[in-house]
Amino acid sequence: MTDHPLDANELRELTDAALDGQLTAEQTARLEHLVLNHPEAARFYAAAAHQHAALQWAFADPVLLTPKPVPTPPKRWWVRRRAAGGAGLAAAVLVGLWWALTPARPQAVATLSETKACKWESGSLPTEAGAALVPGRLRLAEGLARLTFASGAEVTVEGPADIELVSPLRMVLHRGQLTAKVPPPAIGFVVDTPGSRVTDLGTEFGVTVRDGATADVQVFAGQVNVLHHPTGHTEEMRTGALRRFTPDEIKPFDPNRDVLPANPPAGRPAAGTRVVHLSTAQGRGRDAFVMPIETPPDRRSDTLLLVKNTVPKHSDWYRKAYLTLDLNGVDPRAVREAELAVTFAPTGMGFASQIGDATFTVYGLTDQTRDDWDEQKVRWNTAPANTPGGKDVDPLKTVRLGSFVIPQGEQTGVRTVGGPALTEFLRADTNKLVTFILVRDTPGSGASDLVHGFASRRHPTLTPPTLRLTLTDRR
Amino acid sequence: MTPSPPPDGFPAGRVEEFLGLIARHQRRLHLFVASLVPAAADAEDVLQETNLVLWREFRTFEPGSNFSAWACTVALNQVLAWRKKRQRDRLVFSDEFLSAVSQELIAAEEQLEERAAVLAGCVDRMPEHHREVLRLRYTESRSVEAIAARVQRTTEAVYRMLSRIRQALSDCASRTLAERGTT
Repeated sequence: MTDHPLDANELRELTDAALDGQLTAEQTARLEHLVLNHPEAARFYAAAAHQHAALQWAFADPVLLTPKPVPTPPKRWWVRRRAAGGAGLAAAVLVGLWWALTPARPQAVATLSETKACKWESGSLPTEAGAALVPGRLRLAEGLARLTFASGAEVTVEGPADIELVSPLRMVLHRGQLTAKVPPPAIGFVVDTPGSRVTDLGTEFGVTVRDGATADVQVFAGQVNVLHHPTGHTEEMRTGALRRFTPDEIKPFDPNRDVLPANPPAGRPAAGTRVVHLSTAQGRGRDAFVMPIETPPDRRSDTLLLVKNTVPKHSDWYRKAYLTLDLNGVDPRAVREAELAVTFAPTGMGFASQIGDATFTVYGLTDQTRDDWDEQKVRWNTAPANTPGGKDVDPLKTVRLGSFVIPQGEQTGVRTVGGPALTEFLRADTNKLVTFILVRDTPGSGASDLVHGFASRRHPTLTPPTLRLTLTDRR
Repeated sequence: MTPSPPPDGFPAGRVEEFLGLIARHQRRLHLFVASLVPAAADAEDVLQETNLVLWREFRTFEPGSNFSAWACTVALNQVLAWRKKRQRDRLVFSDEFLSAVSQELIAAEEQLEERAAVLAGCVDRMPEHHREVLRLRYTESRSVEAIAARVQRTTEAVYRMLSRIRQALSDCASRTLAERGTT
């Protein structure tokens, strides 16, 4: 039946179209013909489809969509997934493919079946009892909310909590506490936490995420498997089991005594260290924002650093913020830990409804010859390491230090970036000036989407961008 | 508090056995289903049905026999049932095609698993912009159009890039396994 020799390029094109959900009726027929008549075509297609499935498995993890201060090196995190025991697959791909294949039709994944004394914070979903919930974010300030997933899983969330619904079989607990009751049809129900993935195998269990990095899991009845991302280990937990999954290890805990503080105390500096705070308002410190066009008078701000990314069509309205801090008096090599904090406040420009949760990234300027940029004269074209894109900087002159998220609707607050990348960046400084570039990764809709603002050194009341440094005390 | 009650006729004393098997085979089963149903949302639906049928029909499974083979048979039937339900509103593959691919997946299972296991290392060795495209496609579940807008390339260019990435990964997996074989 192998009437014609097989055209490898044709087969590859058809296979790619199938995997990306782009086959036309004719192409479908052609692909079927090839696979059914050429054994090597069947082998090729099966291998490509299996690789596609394995990539879905390896890459899908909504927790990692939202950068978190979990010390899992981003380059390697997903390798650990390879060793995963039972777990759900690739729900994160759901949305994209769904849209590719069917008209816009967000599917309800759960119902808000009961609420008790609930106070809701910003979120992207309706919050009245009985509401059908599509994939999205919910933040509960206080009270109890019961969700019934389309799969049958029943989850009770206790405020304060921050959760994300992904699919009928999958949700994310970013912060807070929940209990889940999972009937057989929902076996495989997954609760993702910042450092671990809890896969249910027909059971009742509780999960608590308090500090944004550690998850406490208790099994009331049945079995769950917990994949701990930092170690790649899958812990099989049965009735009565209690385990704490920290960024470093898995250990038992006593729920009655061994409770994590809801807000970790600032803590006294460790022996032999001291803490200093530096801001853009000190010494040769400075801050400014740049945009591609001359800032119109009604779009200026003396007190806020404006940051925006949007669709390329409206590229005139991109904005990026530049911060320089004076390290005078600090020995960069003595830096042990560091955190950069920025305070955000409403700008009155654009609509919050035109952008969802927004992710921001902070870059460090490694080209130290450009640390001397002028706060008054700096423009889009002359700003150090700037490149035309709304969120892009020159990768050869910068280093990515970290990201944070400002959820839709949250108007004021503080965000921080820290970790080894920032510490390394500071320790490499030789001219006592360090420059940071703050960009918004998330583009808005393009229809008057929100401009975010961060307190500058000229803001009358809010704290300017501040570096908190823990230094080895050599005195 | 008690575990969810087993269905009527569920073999007494075999709940633990079932839970153990389903946990061990969940990933493999997922890859099998997702290979036949490339759209993740659909694959998830099918897998959920499959798990339910496995639970319901576990009494017919003979202890000690090949769970993976049994589960794949059940999964294929669920894929075909799903196809039948969907064929009115969208383009779907024929039963013959799905059966042929499924046979191939089962015949080559060991080899495919080996390839999947070295995939991680291969992705690590890719240039950063390729990893970014994979991340947008598979983690952020962006459509090809959305990725194109994001990386400021044409849709066509992103299709080509995805194709090249898949090819490079496949070549890398073959190479890695060949090297491993010779050393």
